[in-house]
Amino acid sequence: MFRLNLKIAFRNLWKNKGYTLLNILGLSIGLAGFLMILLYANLERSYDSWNPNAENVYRLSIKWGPDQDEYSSSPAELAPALKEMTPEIVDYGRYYVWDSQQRLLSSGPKEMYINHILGVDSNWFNLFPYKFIYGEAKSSILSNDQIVLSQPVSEKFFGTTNPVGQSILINTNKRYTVTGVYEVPNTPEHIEVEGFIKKSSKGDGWSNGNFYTYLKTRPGTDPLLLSQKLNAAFQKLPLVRKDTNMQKVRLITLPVTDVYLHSTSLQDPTKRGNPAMVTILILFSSLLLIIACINFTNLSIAQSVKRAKEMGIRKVLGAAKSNLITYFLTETTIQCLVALLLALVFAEVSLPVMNRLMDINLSLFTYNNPGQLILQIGLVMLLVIILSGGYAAFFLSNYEPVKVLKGNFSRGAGSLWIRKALMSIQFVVAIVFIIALIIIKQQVTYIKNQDAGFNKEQVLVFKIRKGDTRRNFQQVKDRLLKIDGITALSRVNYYPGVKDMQVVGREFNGQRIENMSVVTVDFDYFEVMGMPAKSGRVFSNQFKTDSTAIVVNEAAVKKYDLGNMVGKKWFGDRVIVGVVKDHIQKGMEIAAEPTGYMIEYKGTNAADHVILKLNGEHTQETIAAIKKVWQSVEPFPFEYTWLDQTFADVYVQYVRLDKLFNIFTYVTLSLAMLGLFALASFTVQERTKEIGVRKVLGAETKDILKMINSSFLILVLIANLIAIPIAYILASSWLSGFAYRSTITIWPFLAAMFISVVVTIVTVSIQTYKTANAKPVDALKYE
Amino acid sequence: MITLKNIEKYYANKGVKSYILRHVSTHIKQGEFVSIMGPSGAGKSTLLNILGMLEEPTYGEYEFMGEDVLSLNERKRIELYRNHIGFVFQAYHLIDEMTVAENIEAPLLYKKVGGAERKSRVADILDRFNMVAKKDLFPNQLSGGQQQLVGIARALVAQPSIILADEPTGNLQSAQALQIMDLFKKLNEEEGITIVQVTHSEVNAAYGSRVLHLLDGVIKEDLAVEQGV
Repeated sequence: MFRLNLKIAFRNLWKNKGYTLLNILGLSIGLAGFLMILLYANLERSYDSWNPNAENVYRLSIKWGPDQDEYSSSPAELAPALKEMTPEIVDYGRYYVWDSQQRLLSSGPKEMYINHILGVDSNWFNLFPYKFIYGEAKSSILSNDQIVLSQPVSEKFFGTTNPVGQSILINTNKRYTVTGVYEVPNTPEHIEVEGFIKKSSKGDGWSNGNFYTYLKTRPGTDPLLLSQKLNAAFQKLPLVRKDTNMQKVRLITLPVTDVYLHSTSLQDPTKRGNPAMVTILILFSSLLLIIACINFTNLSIAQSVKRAKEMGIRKVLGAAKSNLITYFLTETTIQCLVALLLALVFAEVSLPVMNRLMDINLSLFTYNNPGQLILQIGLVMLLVIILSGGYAAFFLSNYEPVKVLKGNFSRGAGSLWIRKALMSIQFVVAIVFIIALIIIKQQVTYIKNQDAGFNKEQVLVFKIRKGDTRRNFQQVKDRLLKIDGITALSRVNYYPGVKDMQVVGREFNGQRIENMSVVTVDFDYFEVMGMPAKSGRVFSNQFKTDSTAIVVNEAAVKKYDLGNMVGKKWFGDRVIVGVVKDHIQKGMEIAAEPTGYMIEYKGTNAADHVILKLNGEHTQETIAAIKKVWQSVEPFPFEYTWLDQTFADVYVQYVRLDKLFNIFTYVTLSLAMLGLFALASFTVQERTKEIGVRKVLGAETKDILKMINSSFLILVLIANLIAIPIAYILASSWLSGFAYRSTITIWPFLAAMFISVVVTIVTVSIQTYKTANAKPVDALKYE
Repeated sequence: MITLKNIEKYYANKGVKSYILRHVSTHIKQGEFVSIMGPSGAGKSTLLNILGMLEEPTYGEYEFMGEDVLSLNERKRIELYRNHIGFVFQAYHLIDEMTVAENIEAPLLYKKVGGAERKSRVADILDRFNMVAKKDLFPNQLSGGQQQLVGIARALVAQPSIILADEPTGNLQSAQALQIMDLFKKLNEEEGITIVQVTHSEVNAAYGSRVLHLLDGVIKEDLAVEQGV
């Protein structure tokens, strides 16, 4: 029976080639979109899953009090103390925060900056068992002059040869011996890392959380129990028992595979994913797929008149309902499988585009976990088959054969109603997408044009690598300023776009000053940035005392109530010399934070970036001149960035979202059009006789067009009525996540309505025109 | 073989009952060839559909081979139906997507007859109907008479005990109609298959052994046909 079913199904599909093609095409577009997003979501959720120990490795973070923030750094002394008291912990590994800086590596004539070499415990590889290509994990970083490199880094310096035993120079003064090369894991990691050395500190004391701690537990340890035991153990530490403040501290253990998506700690150096974004994408791509399924259902039901007779006969021949349902599902399955093949092709073709868009590297056929992907696709296909074939199978197998065979079969009003409802749902989704797209576009434009509070054009930034350069900077500054094309020059540590900033708390006059961001600068910083003083003045080297003064921003004035404090002593006995306007530092989601600016002097952080304003003429020559001067000061490769480009990183994810939504919207709209096309074609077929009669009675083509169009326009308007509040709620909740946001106007809604109405009229009219324009005799001969 | 007692069928429309069949009681014996006649709208086809279990009466009792049909569940009814009833239609109702051989094979599939037996039965019947050469054609490649022959072959292949025919010659030219009626008569006489046909034609009715005259849903006459036509 199955073979015959298959054969008949193929014949049927072939006979209705047009519909079959529409069906398969629509479904494959939906599937392709879903597959691509699935790959992306899988990638986002696969962080650190390469690690065979993953389920037993936890990262420790600390909440220093009930109303305090969570930080992922901890003192080095913590892990050994905890291990001592907790038998569940079998091992621990830490890396040292001050070891994580850009390094200049050189071997012979080759020199390169490498950003991510971690200083770790020697037993790090017990927790993160990388696969070593050369050398041995166990003995690789036992002493301070050994270094392990990732394969790509090793290849940069040594090609494909075995580098073990070779030496490499770091920052031109310290010599290391390469002891191992490891393969980069096939899933991404939450820590960016390109190599390892032994950490340079055994511990900075209990009060300095300069380490990131990872614990490895015995297999089968309950995470909840572990957390309780660790906290209990922590309370028994001698240090804690003396200090009541410490008793409120909570230790938080986060499975290593969750760090990327679910870490909540502040100042976290790890890569961070956006779980909400992943959820949104999965949600929207599922919607896309559902729309494709609805299309499929609609198209199948639309053909039901043709099929009804066949089903009637089969029933008379003795087919039970279950036989017919099986038959229909066979037919659907064939189409779904063809659609899947087509979808794989579409996805493979579009992946490079998405990769570029999202700055990732996904591929369908060299996927790192094919088993998981095949399982997922299998499940989705099963759902798709049931969703898209289920209703039609049920619907068509339910006909009463007598009615069908008598020939007076007319499709019940019920089925038409359902098809109209399904089509309206498609339009609801399409309209929501259109509105969302417009609002996202508006917001992105708003972000791009938002006054950042500083002038980011023609500003060049580069790093100072030696402390001596900073200490004698005035000399270098004078030399640089002689170059034509530089209008101003200064130094800074946290320029706009840098997210990890120092935040301090201090007491002044018995009043607590909490959570103030502190930026270290040099004279002329505000000139470079185009940030004039709003009141008072900015730093000037005319005034000797400015080296120990402070400039604050408006947010600080507001938060600490500094309205009439200009010229008076405040924070750390520094005189507030002026107030500058707020500017955007970390992104559009975060309103300007209270910030104080200080000149680099005793007790401040290092202002370790040179920042210069160019006049925009002969830029290449200017940069060449800067490079020449700079390399005479610091003989390293010269690397610089433009401030406007690095600053764009704070909103790059929204630009991506905008682009992604473009695709979503066009695909959804075209699927909805496909559904509309099918339904319109069917309505016209069904009403051919009516149209003929009307024309005999004197109706013109335009009257017929009006009549058919109006029945669809009503549906589309209803869809608009449903979609608009949904879109409004979604849009306003999305926008509420931004500190700087555009207002929602009526235009996106009107535009979506206009687009949906025009699309409907065009689609329906194309379908109707031929019938409406035909000679009525032909339509009536039909009888 | 078939006993109908007080069969009624009506449709209620806005509280008004419109009767199709009223107080229909009759008995059909194994091996009879019954023609149901009457003007349009008399309820002939409805009666045939009730006999064929495609429709249910509103009231009454229907006994088929000693089983009370109306009290059977769906599965049992389909079982009974598959084994004993063959249907022939005025409009043939062949499945357009299937070849002649596949159309004939279809009822055997639903009856779950094994593959080898299916093949041999289909071959047998094609042979008997002189249609071996046409077995791979599709219905739209055949004449009306040929299509109806396929329709009858399809009804017979499951070896039913009764054939229900709804104006089997209604769409055919008279020469072809004659051929079909001869076939029915032969099946009835030589194989003892019970036949119930709905017809407008006195000529066709004359092939049978008994005529039920229906008028406005009521059996007006129940006559034996004089043999010798």
